[in-house]
Amino acid sequence: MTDDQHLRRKFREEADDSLFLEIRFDERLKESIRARVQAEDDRMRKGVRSPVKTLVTTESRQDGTWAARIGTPESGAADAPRSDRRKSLRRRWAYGLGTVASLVIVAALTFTPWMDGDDTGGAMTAQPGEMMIGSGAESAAAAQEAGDPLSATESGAFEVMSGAATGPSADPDGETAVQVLSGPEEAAAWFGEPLPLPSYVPEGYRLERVSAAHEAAQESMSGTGQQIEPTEALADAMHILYVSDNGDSYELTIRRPGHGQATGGTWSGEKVELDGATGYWQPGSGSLRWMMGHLEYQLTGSLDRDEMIRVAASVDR
Amino acid sequence: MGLAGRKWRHYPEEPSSALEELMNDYGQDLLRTAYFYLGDRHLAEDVCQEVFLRVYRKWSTFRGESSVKTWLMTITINLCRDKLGMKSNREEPVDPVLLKQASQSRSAEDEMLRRLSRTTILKHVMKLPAQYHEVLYLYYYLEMSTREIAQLTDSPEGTVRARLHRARELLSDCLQEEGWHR
Repeated sequence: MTDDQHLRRKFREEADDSLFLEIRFDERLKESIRARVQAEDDRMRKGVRSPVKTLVTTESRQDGTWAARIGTPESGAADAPRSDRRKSLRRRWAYGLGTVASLVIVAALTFTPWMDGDDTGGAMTAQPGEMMIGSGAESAAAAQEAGDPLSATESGAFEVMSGAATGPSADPDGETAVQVLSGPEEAAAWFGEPLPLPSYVPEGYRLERVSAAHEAAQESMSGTGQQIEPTEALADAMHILYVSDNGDSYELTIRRPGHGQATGGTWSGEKVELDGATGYWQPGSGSLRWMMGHLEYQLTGSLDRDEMIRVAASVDR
Repeated sequence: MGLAGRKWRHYPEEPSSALEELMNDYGQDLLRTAYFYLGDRHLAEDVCQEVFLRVYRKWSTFRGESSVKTWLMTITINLCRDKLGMKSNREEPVDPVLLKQASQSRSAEDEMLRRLSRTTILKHVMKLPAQYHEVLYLYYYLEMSTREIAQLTDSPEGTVRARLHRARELLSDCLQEEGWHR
């Protein structure tokens, strides 16, 4: 071992044991980030400027749909060229004009009964499904009030992370949806195949939450007017959260790798033996990954390396 | 995880899925880096959230010109510098130990200093001028190359090399005074 390697190891050990002893990127912080992302998405959908000090523009994707884009002072090489920005501004104007036009239509529909001498005080007389112009949240609220099963948010229904369901007018892009499930059995139903889980749960921990995720749930949710039921491959990732009474937590993610996603052959880290499988322990992020059949497993959270290996090795093979 | 980490193209294209994996791969280093600069856990968590929010928004336009980790750390350090009221990358970083004294409760500060005092190397690193403990942290803790540090701090690579060389000399002097042999 060279002096530099020795110094690096010592530096890291000491920093982890003193300066960073209580600094952990835990599940609580992840949840805060997810919530902020969702809130930002909601705001973007409603056309409200982000409170973050960023430049918000809209940009056309290659498939012709609109995508939000935020430029930051440090964006550097990732920033779009100037000409793209000019195009983007023009599109922004067009988008703004479209929004104004929509508002005028809404106002006209709302005030028409008054102008016609209707004495009902302008109460809505439209049938469910007719008043879908407006923000995603408003549309979803109206639909839910009208009993539209596609917009329901009680247990058992999808919550679309990047905005409320808007029926047939929803963005055709695939969107990630998450759903909290009742337990592992329901998770297998949503996943479309058996989900082998660890039999070992470290002392003091308990199963807190199982949630499903799917990138293109919007397509199967919108426009049909049918109740969503668990079907094969409705979810392609499961997040299983375990917590302890003292606030520690760890999460098991089971994923069906798709296009562009990493597989075991590209992972880095320390190779570890997991009862016949090979895992990759990444000390920097404190995570353990392995493949089981065609499924990718990942453990992250408060557990140390040996406990993670023990949990991983206990998955029923 | 070393700097190379996973290549940009090995992450999902879809921002929400990529966000989950990026949080798993880099969340810890990113939070600790923010804490190293700011010396305040709550501020560091704020920065951490903002970094991932920005990354989520920009994921579809990121083309991997730099490594994912360099990109994330650049955003993190710039945000930390913003929080510290520094106008540009070229200004000297603030000494996090001094910031801690201003922002933490007495007991937390005492506990931190007590832990630091028991270390062999880190206690000397943190006493060095800020420009030196910054480069030592980026090079030894985050395992960044001098080229990447130059990119991240917007400094010429020669300057980074010289700064690292000087930081090693100063650290070596401190360690020799204590009779520590590597």
